[in-house]
Amino acid sequence: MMRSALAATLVVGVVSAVPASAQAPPTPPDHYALTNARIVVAPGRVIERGTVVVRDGRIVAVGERVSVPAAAIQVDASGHNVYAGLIDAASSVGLPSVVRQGGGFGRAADDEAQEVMPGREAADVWAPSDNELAQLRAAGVTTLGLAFNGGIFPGRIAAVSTGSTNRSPVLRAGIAQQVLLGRRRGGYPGTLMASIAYVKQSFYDAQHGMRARQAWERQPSGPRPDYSPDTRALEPAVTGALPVWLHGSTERELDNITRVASDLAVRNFTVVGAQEGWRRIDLLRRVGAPVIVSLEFPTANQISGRSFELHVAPVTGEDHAAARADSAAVFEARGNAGALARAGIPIALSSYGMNSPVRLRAHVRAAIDAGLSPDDALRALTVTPARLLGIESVAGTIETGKMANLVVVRGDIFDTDAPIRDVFLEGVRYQIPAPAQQQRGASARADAAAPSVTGEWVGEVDSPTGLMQFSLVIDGGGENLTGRMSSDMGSIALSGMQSGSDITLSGTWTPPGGTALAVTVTGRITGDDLRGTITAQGMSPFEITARRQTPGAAIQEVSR
Amino acid sequence: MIRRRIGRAGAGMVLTAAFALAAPVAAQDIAIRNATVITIANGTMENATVVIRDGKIAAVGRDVQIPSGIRVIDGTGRYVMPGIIDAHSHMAIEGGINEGSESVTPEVIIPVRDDDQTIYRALAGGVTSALLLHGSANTIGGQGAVIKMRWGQPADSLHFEGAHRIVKFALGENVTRASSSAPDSLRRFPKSRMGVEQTLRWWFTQAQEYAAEWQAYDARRDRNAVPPRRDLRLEALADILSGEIKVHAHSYRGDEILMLMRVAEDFGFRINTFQHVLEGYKVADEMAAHGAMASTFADNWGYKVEANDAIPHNMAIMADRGIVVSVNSDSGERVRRMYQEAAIGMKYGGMSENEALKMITLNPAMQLGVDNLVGTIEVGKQADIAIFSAHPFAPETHVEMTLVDGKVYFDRNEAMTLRKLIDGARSITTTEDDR
Amino acid sequence: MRTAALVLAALTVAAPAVLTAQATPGQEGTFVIRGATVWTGAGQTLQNTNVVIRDGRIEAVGPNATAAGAIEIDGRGRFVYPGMIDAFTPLGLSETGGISTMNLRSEMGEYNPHMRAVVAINVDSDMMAITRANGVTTAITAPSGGVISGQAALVNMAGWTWEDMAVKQTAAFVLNYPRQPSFRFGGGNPAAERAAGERVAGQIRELKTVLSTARAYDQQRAAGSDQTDLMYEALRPLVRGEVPALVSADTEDQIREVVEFGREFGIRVIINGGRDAWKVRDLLAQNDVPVVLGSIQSTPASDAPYDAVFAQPGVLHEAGVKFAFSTGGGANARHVPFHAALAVGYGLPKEAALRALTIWPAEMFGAADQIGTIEAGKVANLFVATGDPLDIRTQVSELFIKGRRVPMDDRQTRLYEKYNARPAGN
Repeated sequence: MMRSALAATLVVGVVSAVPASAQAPPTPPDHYALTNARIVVAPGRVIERGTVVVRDGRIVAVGERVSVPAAAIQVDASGHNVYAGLIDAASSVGLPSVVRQGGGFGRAADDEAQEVMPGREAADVWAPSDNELAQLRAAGVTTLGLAFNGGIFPGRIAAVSTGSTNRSPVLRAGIAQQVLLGRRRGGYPGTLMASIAYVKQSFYDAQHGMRARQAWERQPSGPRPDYSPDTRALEPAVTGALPVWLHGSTERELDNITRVASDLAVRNFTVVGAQEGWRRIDLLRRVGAPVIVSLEFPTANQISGRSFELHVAPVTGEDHAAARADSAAVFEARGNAGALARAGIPIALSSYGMNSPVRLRAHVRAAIDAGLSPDDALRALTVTPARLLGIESVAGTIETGKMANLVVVRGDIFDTDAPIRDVFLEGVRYQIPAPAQQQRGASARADAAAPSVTGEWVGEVDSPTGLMQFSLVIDGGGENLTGRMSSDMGSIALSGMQSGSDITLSGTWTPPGGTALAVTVTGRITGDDLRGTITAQGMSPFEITARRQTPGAAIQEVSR
Repeated sequence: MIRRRIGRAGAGMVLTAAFALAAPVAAQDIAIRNATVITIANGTMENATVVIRDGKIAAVGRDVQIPSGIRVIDGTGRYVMPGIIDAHSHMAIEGGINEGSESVTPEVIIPVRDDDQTIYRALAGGVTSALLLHGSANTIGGQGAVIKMRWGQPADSLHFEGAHRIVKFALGENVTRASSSAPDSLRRFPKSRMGVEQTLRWWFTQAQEYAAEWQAYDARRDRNAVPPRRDLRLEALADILSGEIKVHAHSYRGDEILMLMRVAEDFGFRINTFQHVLEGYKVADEMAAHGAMASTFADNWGYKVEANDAIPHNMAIMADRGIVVSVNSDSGERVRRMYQEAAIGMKYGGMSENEALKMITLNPAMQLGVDNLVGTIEVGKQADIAIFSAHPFAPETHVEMTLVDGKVYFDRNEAMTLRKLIDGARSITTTEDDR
Repeated sequence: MRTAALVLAALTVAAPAVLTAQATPGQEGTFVIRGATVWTGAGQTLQNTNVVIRDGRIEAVGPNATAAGAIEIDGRGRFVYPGMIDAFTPLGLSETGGISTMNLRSEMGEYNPHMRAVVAINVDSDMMAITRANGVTTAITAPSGGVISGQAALVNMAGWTWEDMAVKQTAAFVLNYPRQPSFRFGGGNPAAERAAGERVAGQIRELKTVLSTARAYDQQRAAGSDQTDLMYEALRPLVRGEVPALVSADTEDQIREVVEFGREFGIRVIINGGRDAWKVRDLLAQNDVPVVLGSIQSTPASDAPYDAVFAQPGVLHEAGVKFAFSTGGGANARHVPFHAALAVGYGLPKEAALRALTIWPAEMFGAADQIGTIEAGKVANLFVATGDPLDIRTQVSELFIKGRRVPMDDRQTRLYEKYNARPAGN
């Protein structure tokens, strides 16, 4: 990689040659020292008070007793955490959309087909707007894995920086071949089944093309093979020289894509999407591939297996139970990343498929609330994606020699209310503007209006075996609720969140001699009354009602 | 907040049902005693017992000893018959049933999904197996899947082990339709019945050449030679030629049925089963001579021009001329009451009761290649069984229980029914009024 | 030789039937069906009973009833039922599917109360011949489309002209009550839902304006005004409560709204469809609002019990709601007793099922004085069968429509006879 000082000279030269553009790029990095910082070197490795020295775009020193070079611009980071820049392992921001308008069986699509372009490099067609980059940085994201949002062989993965300098943002191109069981609008393959056949045929063709060419090279008197750029482009993926990113989100998509991989003897692959990975833990463990998890959460109705519940569900004009069961299902979907991580499957987190990728941090927060440990979350946004993108030697941790990609946060990086103050990108400092803090104020006010839910609640479950007494002790508030539910059946530790007057708490209950069941309690607080449901895995919810016992527990409630 | 009535009311019942569902269907030996047993193979026995062990039928008869420790289902007043088999369904298919973009696509294979409610509703109608077919948009569609209604099990475990590999062909209006409505750029050959014949002949000629090319390669045993390009489409066509893949052909008119048999004969293969085959009665002798079977609608007609000459006596005439006839649903609605469809065979053309029942049991089993495994109640066969409250053709009948592989997958006592829902609601309303 | 003989034999058997069918809609005359079991539909099942038919009517029913010179029909071991009624079909308006010119069932525009289905009925429709062969003698033939589609007719499945076939030329107005498109499980687009809601509210306001105007028009006409308007003239029997409206409604909300709408305008409402009628069965019973059930051969909503459609008729019956069955289709309107059979399998008493196929729809459409039971004085719409008509195995052996003995052959039996007679190896 080019030395930064030289780059700076070049950039200045270029800039001066170009007419004044709307926004001059920031001055390239020189030399910074972040002092008095709490440094999260890597997940689980923290320097409580130390210094990071940055020069020429690299980290040159990290530690408790690092001296600040006289030439360095000193940035006081006391009261702040410094993290390695976040890596969104699969993002489509700034890429042309492969999902096209129009088309369908017997109808022409509106624009040119992009589903099959195996030789296309995401790096070559990446054109984010300045605003998109700024928003990503404001969310702490310094690096993206670029992945197209659909198609069949839409192209190859790249790793890019979210900086706005005139340097090329591309860290690596040609990282992996994207393979999706997608459809071609208005042509073959138009269905999933044809897509499966098409992907296989394409691999066989690449294999055949390679053999035919090699044979001809050996023996030029033999038949000269045809040249097809698409077939040729797939060869490295077919030989295993290039990793393959296989896309699958629902449980059956995961079944299908892994079966295709096995049929084609593809071994060097990563699974992308896996929104229902928690429903296929065994499969994912068995195939042993890392998983890039999409943090687009499916709605209750989109989750596979829905209809297994429907045929026994009661039907009425106004069925609040259904709605509550939905919220439990959604909670389970949010727990996906946590479930995969706990199962020992290497995961990276991504905005892949999200409507609003800049909300990545909020979605990570939701995944943490649903059971992903903060360390696992951080690993899935730094170390693991760096490895999957092949940039682990320059990104993912705060270590000497790596790119100076840093996020300075007042608070925990996954606390959406904690303001990000600075983002360093290859040593370039971006100060994050204030709006984020205004939002925080608004959200703090919203929290203040929400009733307190803490205290001991005593009530009953309307179970098929009759009314059953329980006690529920809740602590905390907002996005950090904990609780314990006790009854004749035993005791369950719960955790969850509060949104306004609504609470959702989840935990695991192991019946005597049985296997563990996920249990979710949802409810609405009105003063000292709680009404809601309790749902055990795979069952329809039961109603609960409870009253707060602890005297004075409600006094924290803020009146409007 | 209004206290929800029915949801709460239903809780007990719903729980029972949910348990029945959530708990893996247990493998347990079962005896059904004192029932009227319609064996299909050996007549109908009254006051008979069926013993099921390890998922298979272990004993059938009047003087059968029920082993101790076994679950006993009282069959008094009930009718036990082989599980119903639907030889034409589009349920439980993932991601589209018609690869209609091209005229010949036998390389595509139906992906099965497990969470289609139709599976459950079919079970509630006594159905235990079905052939999931590709749609009829193209001359040679895709390969289907034969499944058992193992509701609640993952998609992969629905496949019926031992069944035929089956490909769907289609003739007539549907396959030519895409040509007329599509924009110029997407119109595809053929657009007439004449073109359908030539499409078949062209592709099978290609397939013959492809097979020959591979044969030559294999015969050379030359390690250095580059193998021919593997073509999944031609490979599937070659498998059709060799009889490895069986053909089920969507068809309506007598002319096209005859045409397809002649084309197949020219290329040395057989049409296993004509689907719909509404004018099969016009060429029944030719079908019998060819060795084709028939899977038809009981009495659907008039829904398009090529269905104008459909007659409900079709089943009877074809059966009479020696063709193995089944009646199918082709619908998530009819699959729930296929016993009604079979009864129509007795109404028109005078089929016997057993012949009519065969059309939803043994005959479709033959068409799916599973007649050695299911389709009758005989010792050694898989215990796929439907238990009816009355004779399956009687108007007052309904399905009480459905077993697949000897396991109870549907039990009306445990299912959520309209009456249970209403009764539950009533009892709760009363409680509230009392308060 | 043998082949030729077979062909000849087939021709001699088939030919007379063909001629009869093409010649007339039935043999005229006086008939006595002797010694049959007669389900009268009026509360009795009479054993060993004779039915006398003369001049298109049932003249007498009884163990000794007879008529001199009558054509004798042996009814021993047979069963006689009133002709069955399919309470909602396109019969006579629609023929082969997929061909637009054979399916001219709806007119342009939203308000067509003056469109009369009866005038467009194809007397020689194959579908009607096939329908009646299973004992379905009569059907509601309904136009479609718009808010008020037009006037449905109650017609017999045989006759010389539509006038001859009509039992009631205007049996009901077909009204498609504007309904909110369904947004299930919070589809997530509140703006779209709101917009759709406003559109529907506008349509309902428009419908109510039309009916208020019709009422005012009716009063003016009654007071001597001679200004006429074809559309409002047509609506007079509706707003006077003389002819019912068949109003489509499936969900609980829709049905409640339609019942209220009927009350508001003094219209006799019949719920058409009624998928969730069981949820409001008490309301329907209290207000004496009947239901023409949509096809029983249809699937329930995805969150409803699996047997919801099959079991609903039994539940409605217990609650005291009157209903009729309908196939909604033309080609297989002959299935209407099998729809009823499904309901019987899931709890409806057989007696009620038979009434819902005969006298109840006759009552709903104001034709109970003419058809629906086997009683002296009524129009002779009846059939003779080998057993229970709900049982698919039962054969219909004789069919009378308006006292004419209707031939039992149709396009299908003719094709059957032709190909069944095909000699082997030919």
